[in-house]
Amino acid sequence: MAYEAEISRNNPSAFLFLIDMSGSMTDPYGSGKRKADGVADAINKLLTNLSIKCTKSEGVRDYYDVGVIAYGKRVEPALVGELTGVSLASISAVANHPARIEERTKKEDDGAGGLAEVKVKFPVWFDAKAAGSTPMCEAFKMAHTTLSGWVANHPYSFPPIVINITDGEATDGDPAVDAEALRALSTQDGNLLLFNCHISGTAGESVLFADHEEGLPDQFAKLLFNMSSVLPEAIRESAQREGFKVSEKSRGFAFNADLVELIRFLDIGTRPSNLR
Amino acid sequence: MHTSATAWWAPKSGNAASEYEDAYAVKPEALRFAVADGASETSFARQWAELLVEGFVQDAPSPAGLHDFVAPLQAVWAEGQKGKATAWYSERKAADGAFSSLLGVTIEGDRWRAVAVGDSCLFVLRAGKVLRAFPLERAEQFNNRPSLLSSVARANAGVWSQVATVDGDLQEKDRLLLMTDALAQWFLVEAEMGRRPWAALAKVTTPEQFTAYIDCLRAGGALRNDDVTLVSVEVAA
Repeated sequence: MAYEAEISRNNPSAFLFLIDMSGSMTDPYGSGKRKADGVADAINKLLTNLSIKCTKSEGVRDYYDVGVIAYGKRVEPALVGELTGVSLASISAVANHPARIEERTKKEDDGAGGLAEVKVKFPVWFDAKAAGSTPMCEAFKMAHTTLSGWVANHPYSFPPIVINITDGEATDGDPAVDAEALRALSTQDGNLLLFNCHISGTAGESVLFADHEEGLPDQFAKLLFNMSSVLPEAIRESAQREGFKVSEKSRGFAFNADLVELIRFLDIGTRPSNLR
Repeated sequence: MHTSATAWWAPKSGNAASEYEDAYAVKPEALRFAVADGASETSFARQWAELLVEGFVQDAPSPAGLHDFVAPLQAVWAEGQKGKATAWYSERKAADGAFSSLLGVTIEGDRWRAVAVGDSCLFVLRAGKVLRAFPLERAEQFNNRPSLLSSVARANAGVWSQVATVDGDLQEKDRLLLMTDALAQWFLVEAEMGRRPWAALAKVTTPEQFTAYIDCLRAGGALRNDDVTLVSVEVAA
């Protein structure tokens, strides 16, 4: 059976985020924040969650390799600080090298029926810099180059998960072709999983783990849906436990998910149930 | 009643012995026994599991007294963290707390009593049969995410209503087996198929034999790869 490999330090898995940083990402989204800033926050929170998930008494265990590629004016690895230019880094390297640590406040249950405002450290690895067009095909090609070596070196690992977050059409060709080549990469445990998150300016009901393309508001949403991997059973069950409606045809596709939901989408997509 | 107890353990395959996060404590003269399973997604889980089992065989808290029993242990755990969490992620992880199951068994006169939070299990054997399985009774029940005792008070709000207790009578030659979840799940699967998993476990007389048997079960896919702990209590007259 595929997608059952145990994620361990000997057989880590990999996440690669492809982030659309084209000029249109400066448009406001939901609460009025720029889309690009919202996505940057989401990526930073996700890297935070992954780091904490892998933290044990002695430090961070390398259960994952992680990378972020931004595409816009250029297509390039997008982690900043010490990790500038690195396309895939171990999660311990990521945890130990945020570009900076900001302090933010959040409200927390104080255990006595009230809410307490607590200060939390908010590490930042990725800053929004939106400009230029949408070279998605080139981003898929860079992901392919980055991960083809990885799968060769990790034949028994849970296959890599690539998460593409975009608001618009590719400007450098038909991404379906490059997406197919990317999904063809595999380990012995299964093919690479490609998830797409569409942040659209077109009005339309928010969708997570869509299982059919009817009802998606535009051609591009449909294209992204069809480029997305069908959820493997383990991830589907995990999503089900979180209360999502999923079917056997559900794909790793989100349309206009608000950013809180986007985090949940990414969290579930990136949390194979067998991480112990 | 007199008892003799033996304990066996093995870390998850691929992990070092120092990374084992279950814990057990036996105090045969006081007729108290406990196992705990520190949740591996939390840090300093082993320390927390050890505090729980050591505390249990020391104090033998009543089920209703579990809340008061845990509070001072939380303070000890928090004290142990001081100065250790220097990196931002260690700080965040420590704030989330450590989590662990707890199964505690006490014997008084000719009766035993058990209290459990989470999925560590007790099996009471008599005359070649499983007389009682607690708190889980069927292998399929292991699919649920168990409620666990946390080292931070706020995370335990929902736990107190889920403390399970049971008691029963004890006879000469009865055996009590306390296990953490992976082994308990295997045990129930075997028992449900009409086999006698306790017979194989009873043959183990050295740590090497236990490790070899566990490796064999893992290699055959019968045992989920996880830390394994077994405390076996034999009852004499």
